[in-house]
Amino acid sequence: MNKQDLLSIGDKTFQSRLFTGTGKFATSELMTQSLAASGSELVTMALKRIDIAGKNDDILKPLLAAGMNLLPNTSGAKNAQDAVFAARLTREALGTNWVKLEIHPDPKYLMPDPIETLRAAEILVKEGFVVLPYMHADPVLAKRLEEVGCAAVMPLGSPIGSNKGLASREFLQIIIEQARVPVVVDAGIGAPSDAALAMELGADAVLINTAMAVSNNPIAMANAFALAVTAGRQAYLAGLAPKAQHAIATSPLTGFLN
Amino acid sequence: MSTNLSSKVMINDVTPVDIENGITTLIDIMNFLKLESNAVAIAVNNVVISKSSWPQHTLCDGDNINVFGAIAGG
Repeated sequence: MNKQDLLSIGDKTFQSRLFTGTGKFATSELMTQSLAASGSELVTMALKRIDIAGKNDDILKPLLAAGMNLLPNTSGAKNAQDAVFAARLTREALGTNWVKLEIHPDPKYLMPDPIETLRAAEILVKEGFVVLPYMHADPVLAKRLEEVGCAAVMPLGSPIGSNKGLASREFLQIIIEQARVPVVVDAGIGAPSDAALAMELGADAVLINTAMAVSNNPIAMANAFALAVTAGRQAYLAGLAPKAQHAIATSPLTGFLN
Repeated sequence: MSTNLSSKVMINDVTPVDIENGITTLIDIMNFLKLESNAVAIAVNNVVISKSSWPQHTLCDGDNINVFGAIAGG
């Protein structure tokens, strides 16, 4: 990939436009190897009350050893107040002011609550957080989140973990067209072709978790996603050829004997 | 009739701990639980207490302490 084509968000710069989640991998080793194969430089994680009596897996050590940047999320938050509390905890626990703001009170579709998300974003930005909000593919909301100071916006392709791809494609396109902050397509990307499409549309990055983690071969799938993101990005930069209603010959139409 | 005058705090809703001579601050709680302080956050009565304040943060009877750590997630 062109080394000059770097992605800047907040105070950080990334070579890879593939961000990854750490959930659902069968083992910690498989997660580490898959993330390495993906080339990702930014990984999400969650926070939970620890089990005082039981064993708590140390997920952090291998990620930090691999030089990953951390993007803790506020998963579990049902409103702005919860999310602000969660973000303060993650900042304290992980020593980063980056936060993936996610507020989804409905457990069936995990749709992000736009009102609470905007509310929380405003507070967190004022508290010095680099806020990347998970949101529905709503162009108006994307602008509002940008205006309150979010460092990027993370519209969904389809419901979290559904692998249904870019169901929101038309609206993603509007968000991308209007955004002045990076657009990271998050949630629902089920195949490398979905990731490539998002990048061809002009998304700045994609965030993948389930499609990689629950594949039969997460390491190979991670590599496939890396290739797809690179291909999609290069195609976007090159500029896609226009579509036409009718055929346009690629060879001269005069008879070959003329 | 015996009266229990000891003060207690509750950790993560499941583990009660007596506050006594050896355990008076948040850092004492961490040592008591044998937890490493990196990658951990503590809230007392739903207020996040920064790591730098743990040694001075004195515990009170009935304090509700929650200890959080990082887990995998998307």
